[in-house]
Amino acid sequence: MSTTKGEILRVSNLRVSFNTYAGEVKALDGVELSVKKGEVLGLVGESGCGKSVTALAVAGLLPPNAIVLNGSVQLDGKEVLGMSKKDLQTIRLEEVAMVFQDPMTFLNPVLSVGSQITEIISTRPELFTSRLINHRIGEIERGGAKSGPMEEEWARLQTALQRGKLSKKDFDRLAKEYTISVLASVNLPEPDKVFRMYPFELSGGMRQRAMIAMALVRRPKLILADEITTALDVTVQAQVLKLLRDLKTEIDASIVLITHDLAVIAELCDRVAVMYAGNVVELADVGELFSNPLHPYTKGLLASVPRVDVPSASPDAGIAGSVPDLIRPPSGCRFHPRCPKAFDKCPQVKPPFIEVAPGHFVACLLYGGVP
Amino acid sequence: MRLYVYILRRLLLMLFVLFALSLLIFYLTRGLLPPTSALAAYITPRMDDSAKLSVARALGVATTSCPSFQAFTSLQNGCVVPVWEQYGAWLHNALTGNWGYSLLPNVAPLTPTWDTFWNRFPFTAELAIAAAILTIALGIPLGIISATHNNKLPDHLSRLVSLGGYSVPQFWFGAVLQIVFVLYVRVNGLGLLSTSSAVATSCGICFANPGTVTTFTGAPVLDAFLSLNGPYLWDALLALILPALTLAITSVGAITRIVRSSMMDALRQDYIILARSKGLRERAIVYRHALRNAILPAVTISGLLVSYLMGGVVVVEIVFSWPGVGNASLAAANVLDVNFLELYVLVTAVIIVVTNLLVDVAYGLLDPRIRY
Amino acid sequence: MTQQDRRDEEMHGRRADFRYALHLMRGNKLVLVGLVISVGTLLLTGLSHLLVNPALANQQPLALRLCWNNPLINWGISNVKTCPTSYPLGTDAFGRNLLQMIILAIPVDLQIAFEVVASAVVIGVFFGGLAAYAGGIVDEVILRITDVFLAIPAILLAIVLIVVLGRSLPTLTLAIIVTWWPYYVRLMRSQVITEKEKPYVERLRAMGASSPRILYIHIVRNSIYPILIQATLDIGSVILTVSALTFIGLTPSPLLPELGNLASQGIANIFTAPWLILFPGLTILLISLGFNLLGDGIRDIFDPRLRR
Repeated sequence: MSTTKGEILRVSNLRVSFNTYAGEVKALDGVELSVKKGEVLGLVGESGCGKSVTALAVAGLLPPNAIVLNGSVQLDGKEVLGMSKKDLQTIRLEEVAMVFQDPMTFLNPVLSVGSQITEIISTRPELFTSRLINHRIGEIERGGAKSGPMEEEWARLQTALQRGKLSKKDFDRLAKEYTISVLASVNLPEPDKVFRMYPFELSGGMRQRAMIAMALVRRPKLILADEITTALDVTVQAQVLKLLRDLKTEIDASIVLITHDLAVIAELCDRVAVMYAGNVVELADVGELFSNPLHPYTKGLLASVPRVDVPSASPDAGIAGSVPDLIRPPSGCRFHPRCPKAFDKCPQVKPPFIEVAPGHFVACLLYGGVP
Repeated sequence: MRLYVYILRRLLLMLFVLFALSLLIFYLTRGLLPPTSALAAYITPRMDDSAKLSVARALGVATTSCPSFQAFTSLQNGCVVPVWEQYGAWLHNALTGNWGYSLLPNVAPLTPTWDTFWNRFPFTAELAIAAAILTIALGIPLGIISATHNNKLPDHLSRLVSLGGYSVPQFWFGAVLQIVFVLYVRVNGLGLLSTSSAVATSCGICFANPGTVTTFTGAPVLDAFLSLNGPYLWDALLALILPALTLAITSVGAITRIVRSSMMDALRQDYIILARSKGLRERAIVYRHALRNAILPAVTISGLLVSYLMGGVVVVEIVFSWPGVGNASLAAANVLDVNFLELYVLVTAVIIVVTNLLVDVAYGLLDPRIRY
Repeated sequence: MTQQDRRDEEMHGRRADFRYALHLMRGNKLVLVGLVISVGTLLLTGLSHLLVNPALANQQPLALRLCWNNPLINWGISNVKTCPTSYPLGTDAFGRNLLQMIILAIPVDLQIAFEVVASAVVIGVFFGGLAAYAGGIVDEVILRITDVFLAIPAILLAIVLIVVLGRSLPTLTLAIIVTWWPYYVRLMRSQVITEKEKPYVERLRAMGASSPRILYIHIVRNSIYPILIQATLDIGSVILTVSALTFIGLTPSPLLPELGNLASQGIANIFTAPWLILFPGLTILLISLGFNLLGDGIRDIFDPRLRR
């Protein structure tokens, strides 16, 4: 199914398995997802439920031992699965950017932070030339220096803009300046110093911001944020999330925010998708999900969160059992072994993903789909 | 620690190591062999006994109270200076370049050991440097190809080469090369390559009369280059190929293995996933991101490889009749020319220790996490 | 750990070590080849005196020297002497049957290799562990001593030692041991240093693990694996070194059945009797290859980073 108007991403019936020594891990079992333009979609679930795998599939970054069994990933009308290497490279430079969890391992330790950003710009210079020039021109004009010492440069840049080409020297210089301004926009102090520093010289929060800068510099239409706050202290978490919210409005991007932290979802997201064992089991607006959870798993998840207004955790808080083995997953509905509401049809039929109320989807036989 | 402080510390360490090493070698050669063997390099046939005795005294081997040379050779009590006291005299001689006369068989009598050594050294140096260049030029690309084409044909071939190189006896490999290229592959009735010396004199594709060169350095290839003599350069290079390849084969094997495994390791890292997600080209990912990290273990091991190379020259020079110091060291071992051996060991040690220092500094420059 | 490692652990839960090892064995045929060769060599060593009479090594039927008579291989050289009877690998410079000499030589080389590696491991484990565990001045002293020994190439030091101590099998073995132990000291030292930092050591100490002795045993037991892997790989390297030394002539007796020694006769006759240098050398190559493959395979199986 292709994206409808107003949708930036549509994932349909995505089934992905991994070949491992222990057997075939059926990681994604028909994931259904959609992201509207300009919205923040939260993707929540326990460890191992397939949230990261879904994001990797969207960015075309699945490891070599992954097999896409079927399904489609439509990014702004283009099918990502099976895309050629060159096209994948283009969409990564222009349309979708992924920000990862642990900036310590995801940043290259032997390259400076600045160079890890400018290399993006230098990969396909033609995609960035006009933006660099316009940025510099804007800077000159803001500095009120249209006449005076910058005048020669301003004129030269105007001609370059017309021709659409920059000299190498100018390009490198502008790329560096642009990068520093992006580093400033993610609230990194002394961005020109940070430009030359190496990842190990920065704090965890600063590194995460540098990674966000790497995404921003591309002005993507879709940002995939994979547990970006999980490795950070709580105070730093709040700062990074605020940054993300500010940036979203500034560059008008859609965000898929992957996390296992419901508080983050509540704070930042417009809609939420709940995943369990390779399936999206519920998808709704954030307010609707919190006030009216339908899927038993979602209910269990919400009940597990300690709350200030509830006197004490009820003895049945938490969900019985443990995450299923994805090599030999449960038949039918993968949640049925742990579900308090399971009935005889649950192990037999895989529940379809249906719209139960406007904008509220559930995959549970309790709400329909029983043949 | 700043960089120059680090280098200073390392230099002091170097001096200590060389000093301790010279003590060790000194004790081994002077302490465990009869004192007359130490003397042999300094005595000329025309000396009479009293002259010999004074030489022995000057060397610090015989005491001043020793009555006669006969008493000395029969090791009479009170005639021979204890080994540890001989060291001072030896050190003084060594540092002033007095290493006695060479005892090597095909050297004219009364030729100083010092000259004999340094006349031969350029040939060994040329061989070792050529082997080092081959190691880098073959080993690193093979390792990279192996890692990027993991489990496909180029990987299997390169693993075969690296494992073979690592396991093959150098003398055997040299012999096989000679048999194939000198005996079997024949051009114009002559073997494709020749094997007689450092300059190819009669082979299928070399120049019969390459002319002469001025001896700037003593190394044929370098001298030919500096004298701008093309044919000579060609012949010298032809003669260099087989021995250099033989010497390099073990280290090519080692470097390929290390580069392969560290590249595979690097390519599995998270920063590669990020790099790919940024839309970078595959070439940039492999060379700029992965190799910059993977090269570090290879740099670490290169200190060890220099040691390998300097040791391997002995065998390779013998197999190819190469007129270098390795070849001569065997002759020295046979005639008990301990001075030559001592000089050889110490020069080699200096080279190894200095190279190790350079390697460590290079590592520090490549890895920004290490700041002296 | 990379994120992929974390994902793997999440997906598979407990790692099935044994099953994984088997899987690796299946996929890595070369390890099996290495295993076969190594075991075969050891078998040959055990049987060699049954297969060939050792006294044959001391005979010198000079009339039969340097001849070849094996219809399967034609060297294509003009002046090859033909033996009266068929010799599978020709005869050597003393007229002895080369194949028999090689069979007699394998145990000699292997024995030296095992002696060297065993001694080096023992010395290395002791001093390396001592240096890393005691730290301070003991560590410095031991490190500097290894520095001195590592500043010369192994072969050179071995040559000097043999010149000084005389040419015999024990001195040959001793010379190589002296050049080999510094590597093991360094290796063990770095292993123990890493091991010392691990959390379980802190825990053991907090639990009151009584004496440093107990800790030493625990740490050593965990550090020993890379040493053993290196030891297996080194068996091949030692044989290469021994044969190089005997090849250049530092052998106790020219008649000694030893692979490098047999090959050394061939250097003077390289173009007239190539089998002399080729077959002993080939034997060395195969043995060394076998142990290297085996060592590599064992390392791959125990390497925690190669889980896939």
